[in-house]
Amino acid sequence: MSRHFPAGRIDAAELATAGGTALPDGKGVSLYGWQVETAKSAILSDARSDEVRRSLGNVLNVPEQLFYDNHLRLKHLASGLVLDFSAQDALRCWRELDLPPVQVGHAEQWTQARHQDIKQHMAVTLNYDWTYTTPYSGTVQPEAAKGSSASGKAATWEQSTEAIDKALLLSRDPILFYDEVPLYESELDDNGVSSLIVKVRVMPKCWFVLLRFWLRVDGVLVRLWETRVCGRFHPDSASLDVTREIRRSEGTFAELRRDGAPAEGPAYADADVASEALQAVAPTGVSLFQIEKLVASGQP
Amino acid sequence: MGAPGVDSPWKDLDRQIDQLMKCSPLPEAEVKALCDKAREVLTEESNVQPVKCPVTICGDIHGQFQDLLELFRIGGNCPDTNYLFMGDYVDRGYHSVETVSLLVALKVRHRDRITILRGNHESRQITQVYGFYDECLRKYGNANVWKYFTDLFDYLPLTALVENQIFCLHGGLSPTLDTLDHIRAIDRRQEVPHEGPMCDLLWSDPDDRCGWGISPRGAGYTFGQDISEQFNAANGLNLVARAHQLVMEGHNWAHDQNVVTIFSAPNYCYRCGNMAAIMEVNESMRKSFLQFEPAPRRGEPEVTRRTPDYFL
Repeated sequence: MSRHFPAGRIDAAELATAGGTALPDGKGVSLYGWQVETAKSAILSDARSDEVRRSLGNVLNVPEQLFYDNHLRLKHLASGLVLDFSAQDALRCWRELDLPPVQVGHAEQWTQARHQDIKQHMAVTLNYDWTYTTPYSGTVQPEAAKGSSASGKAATWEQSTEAIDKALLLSRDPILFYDEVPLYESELDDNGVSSLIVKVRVMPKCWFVLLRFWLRVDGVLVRLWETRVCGRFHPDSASLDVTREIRRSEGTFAELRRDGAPAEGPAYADADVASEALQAVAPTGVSLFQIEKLVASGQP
Repeated sequence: MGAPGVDSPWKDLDRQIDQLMKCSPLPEAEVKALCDKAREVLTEESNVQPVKCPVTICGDIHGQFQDLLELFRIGGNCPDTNYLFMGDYVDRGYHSVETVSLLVALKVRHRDRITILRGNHESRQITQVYGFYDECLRKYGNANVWKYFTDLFDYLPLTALVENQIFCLHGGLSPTLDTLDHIRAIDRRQEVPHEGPMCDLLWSDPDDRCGWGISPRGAGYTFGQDISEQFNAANGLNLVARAHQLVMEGHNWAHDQNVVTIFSAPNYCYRCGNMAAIMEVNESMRKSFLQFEPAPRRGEPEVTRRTPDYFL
């Protein structure tokens, strides 16, 4: 069903003007020493879903829309470093974080009403974070992590005070490559939405990535955990200039309302509108904000 | 769709069905009249509506109207083929109004040829969050049509029984309901409650774990293979057919073939890439699955493909 999964958009003329080239099959672009590529396909099959659940330590469930083969990959050719965004690593982080289960709005009412049934049938409460909340903010790896130690250089994120250059992102330079890649989504059995989506745009002066975990539990809470990564291009394509900002906003609807954020409703319909609503009332709801710079070993 | 003669009592209805098949919604007054007629038909049906074979059993549609037309192309037109739909006609997709209008019109026109059960989305509360309410406002400028349909949903049967062998419902089993007679005794004419046996039938899921499980959400049951086997044995059944969950191949056996999940919305939400399926049950109760993909379509995005934007 590949016709359902068109590759990202490439502006061929502007790409050529900027001195870049398209990757084979149009899956991405190569420019100023960076290769940016995406992969998109169908959700995981039911058979493979069992396998994935086992690989995550026999978890009871994974998101029903699990785009396990999707990814966004940015490769810095000079250093061999790869920034990768995938559902596989995101779910591993979900397991590590393992937040206690959120209770839906009518949980108490439900449990009280079913008290007798539950006792009589010895029903067991399943215990896992069904919201799939993940602190994942991308994976950095040497190009060849396994086998050849020679080509791989380690890299670390180090705290920084230099935020992403907003002016650069606001400039209306042409977008040479654009794509939006879903990693997973769950309808939470009709109790809201949980989704992890990564977007990328490549322009003549930089590339920019937005990874967003978005959670709304109807009647209870929202969580918007965002990672923004910007890589600046330099004429000397060997230098690495990558900054990321991690920003988490969240709160119960009651808390958010109390602190001046919009009430539950259209303001939280999806991640885009919620992001606007939450940015407008910041620092209300902001639980974490940090800026980091990617430093390759051996780099000054 | 029959041969409407000048004096056919079905003339208006056949015209409406023709119109709906073109994905063109009916005027508000016609929806009201249609829902009134449908209520008379549905009110006579049982909570466990008996259905004869052959019949083709279908899962969630979710407003994917073009895919419903594809389903009829693959499975045969109604009434040439008998159909049993297991709920979730509305929400999520772009054409909930046309989808539910068509199915209700077919029900009124061919009441013995098509059975439409209630899904958890056929509810006032859920449709206000997941699309149907907003779509009604957009297409009619007011909420009347939403009200006509959601009032009608209270009359939809909860389950169906094919030749006393295949038990069909949207969600799954309930610890309060050991027998079909328990289900027959429910007063279903109400909004889907937050708890209780009626809620379980529309919401519960089969699970790999044995026994009854409680969802980590703090509301809702899962049931294991032992429960399904026991229920089928106690009621002389050989299969529970249900919908409610997205499955990649369109159908999925569970619990050693005591339960099957059927999902009939291909490429769900216009991006999942899943197959849809329907289950044909023939005159001798043999079951076979027909899988299908979305048909190429006009006037509706085949994929969600956004134009490049300067997101921040």
